[in-house]
Amino acid sequence: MITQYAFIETLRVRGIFVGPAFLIGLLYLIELSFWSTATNDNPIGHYNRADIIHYILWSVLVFQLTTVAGLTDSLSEYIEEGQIERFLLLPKNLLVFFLQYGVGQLLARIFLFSPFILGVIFFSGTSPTLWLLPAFLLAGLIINICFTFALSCLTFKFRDAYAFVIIKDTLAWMLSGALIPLDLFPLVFQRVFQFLPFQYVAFMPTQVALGIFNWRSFIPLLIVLISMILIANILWLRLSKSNQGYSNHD
Amino acid sequence: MSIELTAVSFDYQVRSITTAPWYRNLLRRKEVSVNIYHELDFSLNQPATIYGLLGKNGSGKTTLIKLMTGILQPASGRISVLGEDPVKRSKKLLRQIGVMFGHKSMLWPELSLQENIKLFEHIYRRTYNVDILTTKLQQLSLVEVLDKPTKTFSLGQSVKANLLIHLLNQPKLMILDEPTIGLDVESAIALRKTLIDFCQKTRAIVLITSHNMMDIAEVCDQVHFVKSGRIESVEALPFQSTQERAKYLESLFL
Repeated sequence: MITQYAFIETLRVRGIFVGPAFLIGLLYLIELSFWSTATNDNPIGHYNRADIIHYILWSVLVFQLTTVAGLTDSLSEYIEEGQIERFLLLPKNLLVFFLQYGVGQLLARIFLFSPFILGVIFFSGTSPTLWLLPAFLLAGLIINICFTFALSCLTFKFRDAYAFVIIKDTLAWMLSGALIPLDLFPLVFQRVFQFLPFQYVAFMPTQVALGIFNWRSFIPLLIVLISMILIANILWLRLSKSNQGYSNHD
Repeated sequence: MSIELTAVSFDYQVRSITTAPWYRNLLRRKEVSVNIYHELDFSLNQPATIYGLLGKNGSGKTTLIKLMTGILQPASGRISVLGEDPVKRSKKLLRQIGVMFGHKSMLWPELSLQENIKLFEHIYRRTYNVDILTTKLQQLSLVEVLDKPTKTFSLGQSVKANLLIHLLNQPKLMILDEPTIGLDVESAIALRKTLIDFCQKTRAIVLITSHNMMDIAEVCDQVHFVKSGRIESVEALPFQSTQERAKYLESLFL
């Protein structure tokens, strides 16, 4: 029910399509022209020009699908400004509530971006693992929401903890693989990335869409997914009990 | 079925900005502790009673509500609401209490009132009684806006719509923090009537804070004043007419 209404609500917000669609268009323009020029004469790593174009077409789109703004992005602000009451009083686990809401938003974005998605599938050709993409988008979304949710919970203990969310969002642009394929980084970095949540937000679903997904990376995904859910939930349950109520002490 | 606060103390931290030159405050952060309640004892224990809570701005009325609902945790002391510790925020307890903070809306803005009703029916795991729903919609004059997005509601409609959903949940404890602030006379009267009706029919405990003496004088059976971290009770209001009761409360307030 929450997912269903989040889907409806997201579709009803005017301009919900315009912002992300503009961003996708802009990123395609910048990224594709950069990588196209960079790979004009020589391939970079194992990416030749066609490979990198296919990668960017998917990664930019995937990042916009797994990074949904909304309730979770504002959680830190709600805590800081004393507007968290309406969530604290809900007879429902807030993380589950936010995840259900996020899934509704993801479905709405998939629906809205379906022309883009179909265009990219048509352009890059179907891959043998494309059918796995919805599951990986869902996993990426859950990891992303849990990450933001966990950092936002720190606001219960520290003022201005929204800075952590800003840092995470900034790092996500670089370390998720949305703009630069992560397998172009040195091997030691790639090993570290495997245990960070970022790559599951864009790089991994993109690999699935391109058909170069390795089943061996499924176990780290599950570990990160379960860990993030547990961390976010534990932080919420523990820290929300020490709510300071920074404002509205009337 | 009662609300008991025993020896409750609560203080919160505020960032202190000293009178020193501004650049000294940039890196040095000083937090000071502000005490609101110290060893407070307070109880609401009569079903089918509307309690009023009066106090000046900043006296701690909202803080008291937040302590009673588990939003804030007391530094010391014990709070029991309907037999449970509110800080644990058990789903069972949360389904039995309804809290409205002034204008703050819990409705989803892009959904219609009808859709919001269905949504909260799901969240609170209730099956709303159609007869009660129809009656309440009429009492609160919300029938004509049932299929409109709640973001288009006026302030009065929004407050009434939030109240409607809380009342449909049939809470055993209903708390309203300044519910009539900014409402027109008609909406305020409708809200008061609906509350009295709800309290009598469901035998719930209702607690209202307001700066409007008419609200308190008309609907409340008992009134409590919050003054300097203590609560003073007025067990029974001596007058029959609402105007006289309001004037009496005003004199006590001042």
